Amino acid sequence: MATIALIVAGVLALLVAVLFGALAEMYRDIRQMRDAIGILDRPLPIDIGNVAHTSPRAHGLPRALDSAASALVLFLSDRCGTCRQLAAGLSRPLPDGLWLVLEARSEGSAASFLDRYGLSDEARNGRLVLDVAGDIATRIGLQTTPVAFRVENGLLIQATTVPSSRYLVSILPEPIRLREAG
Amino acid sequence: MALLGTAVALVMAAVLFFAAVAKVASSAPLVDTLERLGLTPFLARAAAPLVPWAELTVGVAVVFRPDSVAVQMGVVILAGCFAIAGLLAFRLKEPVPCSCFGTGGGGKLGSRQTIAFFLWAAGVVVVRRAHIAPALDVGAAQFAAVALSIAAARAVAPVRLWIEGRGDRLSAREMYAWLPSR
Repeated sequence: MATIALIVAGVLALLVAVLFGALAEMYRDIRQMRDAIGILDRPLPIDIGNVAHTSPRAHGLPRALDSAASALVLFLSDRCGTCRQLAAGLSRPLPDGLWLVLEARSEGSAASFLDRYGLSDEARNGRLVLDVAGDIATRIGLQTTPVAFRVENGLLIQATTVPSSRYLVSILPEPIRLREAG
Repeated sequence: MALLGTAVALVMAAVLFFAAVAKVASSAPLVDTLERLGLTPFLARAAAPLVPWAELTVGVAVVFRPDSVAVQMGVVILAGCFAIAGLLAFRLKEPVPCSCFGTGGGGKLGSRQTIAFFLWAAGVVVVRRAHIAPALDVGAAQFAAVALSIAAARAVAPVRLWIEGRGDRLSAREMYAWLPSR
């Protein structure tokens, strides 16, 4: 009896393995359809108007950004689903060149967001700025999140929406280092 | 030696099961490979479904009757067919997709299959020298264990695709919220 049960279990396991293959095929089909209709990781450029080529500090962003050769300022909100997904996918400590601004409804919701996604240390060391009253976003004229501003040579250059963690990783500034001579 | 022989037999069975369930889920890539190797479309469509069943049958036989000469010959013949396909592909000027493990594997047919033939043959020699003849209940337990391992290994791809798909869906939902404001 036990032998038959084991054989049946083996056959069922192989059947499940086949079904896993079919499921993977279905996911690939869905991905292909999303790709075809353009809802896959498609970032939207944002016209930043007068904000272009201005100093980050003028908008309430950290002073250190004014001397950054290349940096990315990511605006997150505690109310947006993609922002939570991005926050969950961030490495700790934050990657070099990435700064965060968290827009929150209240101090309590901001603290809850930081605790939930393990970003309290980043807030303490200044890499994450809390924008509880929406001061920074208002000064810049930002009404949507998640959005990333690129800083080059201490100036805000351009902005884009960030639809996924995959896209965020692809736009992180990576310094190109020279080989050591000799 | 018996332990080594059992381990080698189970590894051979696992590879055959893995290849079989991948091809059962989607036979189209295998049909394409056979056509590129020179089979007519009719023959390719007729032969493609037989390959996974041959792999499955030989795999089951290796688990339950590794001592049988017929089973050992079956492994060598199957590996020989793969090696011949590799050699045929090697002679063609264009790369021929392997389709060895369904759509998931992106390898090409060629020298690998020829080298693999010697590995299969070496495995058969080890199994033959080990003189292992498991009882039916032991074979059933080994079959269940191998099949469950295959099912677990096959689960990795859909889980990864599911996580990616969920991220894309959340991103798309956010994008729908942005688009009307533009």
